Amino acid sequence: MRGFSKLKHIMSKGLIIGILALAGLSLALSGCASVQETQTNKIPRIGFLSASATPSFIEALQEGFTELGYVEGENIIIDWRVAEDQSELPAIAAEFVAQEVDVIIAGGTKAIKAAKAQTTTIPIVMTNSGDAVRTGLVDSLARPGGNVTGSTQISPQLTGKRIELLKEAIPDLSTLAVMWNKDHANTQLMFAEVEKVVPQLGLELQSLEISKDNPDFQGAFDAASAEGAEVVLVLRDPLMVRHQQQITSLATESRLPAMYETSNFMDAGGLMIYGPSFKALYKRAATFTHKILNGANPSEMPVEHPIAFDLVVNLDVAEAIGITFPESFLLRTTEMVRN
Amino acid sequence: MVSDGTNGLLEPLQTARRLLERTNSRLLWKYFRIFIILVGGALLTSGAIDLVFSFQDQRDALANTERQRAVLAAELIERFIDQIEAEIQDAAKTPQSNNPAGLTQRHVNYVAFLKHVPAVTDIAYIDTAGKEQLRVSRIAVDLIGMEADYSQAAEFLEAKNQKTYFGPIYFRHESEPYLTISVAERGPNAGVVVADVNLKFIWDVVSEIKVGKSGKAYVVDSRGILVAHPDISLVLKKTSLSPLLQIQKALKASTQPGKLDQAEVTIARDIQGNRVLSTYLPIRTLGWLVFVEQPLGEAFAPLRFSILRTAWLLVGGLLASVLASLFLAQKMVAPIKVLHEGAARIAGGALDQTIEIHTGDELEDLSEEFNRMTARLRVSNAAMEQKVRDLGVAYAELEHKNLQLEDAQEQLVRTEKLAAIGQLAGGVAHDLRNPLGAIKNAIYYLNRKLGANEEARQNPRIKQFLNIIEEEVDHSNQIITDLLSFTRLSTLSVSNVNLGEIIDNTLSGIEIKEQTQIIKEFDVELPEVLADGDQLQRVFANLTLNAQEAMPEGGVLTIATRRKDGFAEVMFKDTGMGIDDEAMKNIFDPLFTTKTKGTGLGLAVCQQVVAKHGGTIQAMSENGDGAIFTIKLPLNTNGQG
Repeated sequence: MRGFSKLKHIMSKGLIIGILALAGLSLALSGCASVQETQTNKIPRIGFLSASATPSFIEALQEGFTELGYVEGENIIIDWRVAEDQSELPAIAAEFVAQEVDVIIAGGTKAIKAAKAQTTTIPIVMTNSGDAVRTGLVDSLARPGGNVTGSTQISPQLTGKRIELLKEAIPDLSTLAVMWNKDHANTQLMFAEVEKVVPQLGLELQSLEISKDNPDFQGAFDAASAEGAEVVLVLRDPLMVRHQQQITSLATESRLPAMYETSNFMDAGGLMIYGPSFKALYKRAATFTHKILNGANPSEMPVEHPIAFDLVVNLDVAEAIGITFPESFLLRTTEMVRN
Repeated sequence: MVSDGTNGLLEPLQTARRLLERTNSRLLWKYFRIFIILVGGALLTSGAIDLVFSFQDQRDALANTERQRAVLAAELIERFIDQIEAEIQDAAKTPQSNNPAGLTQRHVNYVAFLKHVPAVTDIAYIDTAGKEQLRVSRIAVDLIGMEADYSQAAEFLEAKNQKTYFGPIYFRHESEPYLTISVAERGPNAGVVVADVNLKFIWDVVSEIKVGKSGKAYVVDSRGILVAHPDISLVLKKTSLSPLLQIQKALKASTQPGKLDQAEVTIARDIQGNRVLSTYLPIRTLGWLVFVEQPLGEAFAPLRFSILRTAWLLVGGLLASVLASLFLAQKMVAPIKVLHEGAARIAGGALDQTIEIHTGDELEDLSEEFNRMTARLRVSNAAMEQKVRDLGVAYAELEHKNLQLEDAQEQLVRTEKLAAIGQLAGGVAHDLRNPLGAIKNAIYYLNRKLGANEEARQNPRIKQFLNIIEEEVDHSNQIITDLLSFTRLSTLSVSNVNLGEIIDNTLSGIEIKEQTQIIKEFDVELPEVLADGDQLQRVFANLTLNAQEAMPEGGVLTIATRRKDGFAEVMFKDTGMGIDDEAMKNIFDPLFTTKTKGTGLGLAVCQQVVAKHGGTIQAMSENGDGAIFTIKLPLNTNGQG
């Protein structure tokens, strides 16, 4: 029976080995479980493209990124490209596409269109655009359907508001002159809105129609002065933007307070504007970009309307034309500038 | 080896062995199964428990993470709404009179409000009668004193009920989510302040919530209608999520105030039908619910690894337990096997075997018990064998005696028979002898006369018939002589005779055929026998003649003498046709013959003569292979008269 006890010995040895093997196996496996997935986080690259962005807009965008926890050069790389001329935009857009940036932020309809022409895959965030649906940048505001999303303007809808603000700026206002391009379909619609609102506010309306082919701004302002119009509202269209300098100069010369839509008129020496806050829109673009970098699909990100609006007044121009705004009006301004 | 007599005793042992043999492999299998069930079962159970717990842990951990996000989202939304509500409450705190001056002051206040609270796009004042007196907007022209009727509108009625009214979500320009909040003013002539709040901020909060790779957050209102969702189109469609399980549970819980804080994690399906891990948190002021969901597959990805690991461990463990079970079962069965083999050997008769098991347990006790039993069996077996041997001897003796008895009885019957025949034959023979003598004389006379008669000599048939008559008369005389000699056997005249001499005398007195070869093998040392020599000669002659008749084509007749067990033995062995079994039974009976001309007295007389000498005669034959007649005569004893 020596063999038997030997067998017993071998068996217990086998059992111990088996138990050890089991323990080892479980240890090895639990060891595997604690191994963390390591991800190499690529620093996102952003291309910024605009022909109209001002330093304050860019600052606003940077502020937006900072608030979201981005630090340029550390966890985000932004290639800031502000074109001197609109004609440079397509080349810059092509460069961004070639570099395979993660997101293109485009400021202004021209820049957006230039970027959209270069890529259908790289997400494009609009800081500000004209009517994004009408210009074909997106399918619809709720569901853009492509690689473009961001903010769009609603400037035309603010026409009534502008007249109201003018009335507030000039408390005894009775006659309002509206300068508009009669050859532009959009402006025609806007003028129809004007015709509706003016009587509601108890005002007289003087229409200063400008012909696209033969724009006579001098004549228009002369007519306004002659008719006794106390203020001028300039409805924005490409023609007006082209002649913004001439328009603002003529307004000041005619000592007529004028209201414009967008900030470029302020740069040109305009008295006041009421419109979407471009700073807010630029800042907002950071949020769009952030969402996209986190995996949101631009085709499903609704295009937003601005909710912040700027009422900007140039106090120097006001002085130049000799008007003093009432306190209640000045309370409504978001910004008062001097030359 | 054990003799047949012990078989009955070993029967139970054999049965036990067969049983053990059959159960042996079954036992191994049984033990194996038990171990597998025990070890495998323990492994499975612990694995399952581990899985259940890690499932719960993982779920709870995920739920915690999700809940944290939901808490964060709910807090942000709640704070946002609360702040705006507070601002509106503030705006409602300073009621103005309903005259134009009051309205102007209100206008100034509202303009300041809009500047101060960027999320509010429009703010309006509805007077105590439900007429809208003022609406200040960022976008549209301010409305003053337009007196639109809001007296039946919810924002007016509910606010009047001293509650803050939160309206349903609605959209401006397709994509701008708005919420109407209205608050009643205090004091006399109190109206209602209505603000339209842009909820883009809530949107941001909701779409910011990322759970894993594809988890998401959304908000539903108190009716289960989607308020905020990363996919705005679902919100635009006013999708009702109330059919979803998690929404139903949450809505039900939200009606029970105490339960709200115990928001639990539900495994349910999202609107696309995918299985998700869902949790939620209420936004009390709005009655909304913030849901945070993650696809189940993603949520439980770490758990899958755990399951996989457990499965591998289980497989490994089962393999190990199979081996261990085999070892253990083998170990347990091994002594039983030893026991079985020992039992088998003992059952096979090897009673000197012992079974050696040193397991120190019941099996060892059993083996010792077995060995004790074997020892007892050994002893009783030996005694039994001795008894059987004794019995065998006694039986043999009995059988011998019985045979002797039978012989004696047979002898008696035969003797009586012979006496009767002898009496009859003696009388008949005596009466026939005289007529036969007359016939013989007449034949002698006719023969003489025939030799002189020419005519008779010409006819050979006459002489032939006469010869036949003469031969038959001689034969009849011989029969009569035999019969008479049979009757005359009653007395023996004994003397010391040499059997060899008597055989030689016999052979010289009778006709030996040419084709018969006789071999004599006499024992020269054989002492003389006290016997009637003449009668023995008749016996030997008879046997010699019979042998010759059994060998008509010739053969060898061996005649041998020897001394054996106090007897002189004479053997006549021929190579003739032998005697069949039927004839052998009656071969020594008087008047029994197989020959056509026999009297049937020859062997009966031989038997009678030998018996009178106190000896025996035996016939042996293998049919067709000769016959052996053995005569035994007692040495140094007187023959019985």
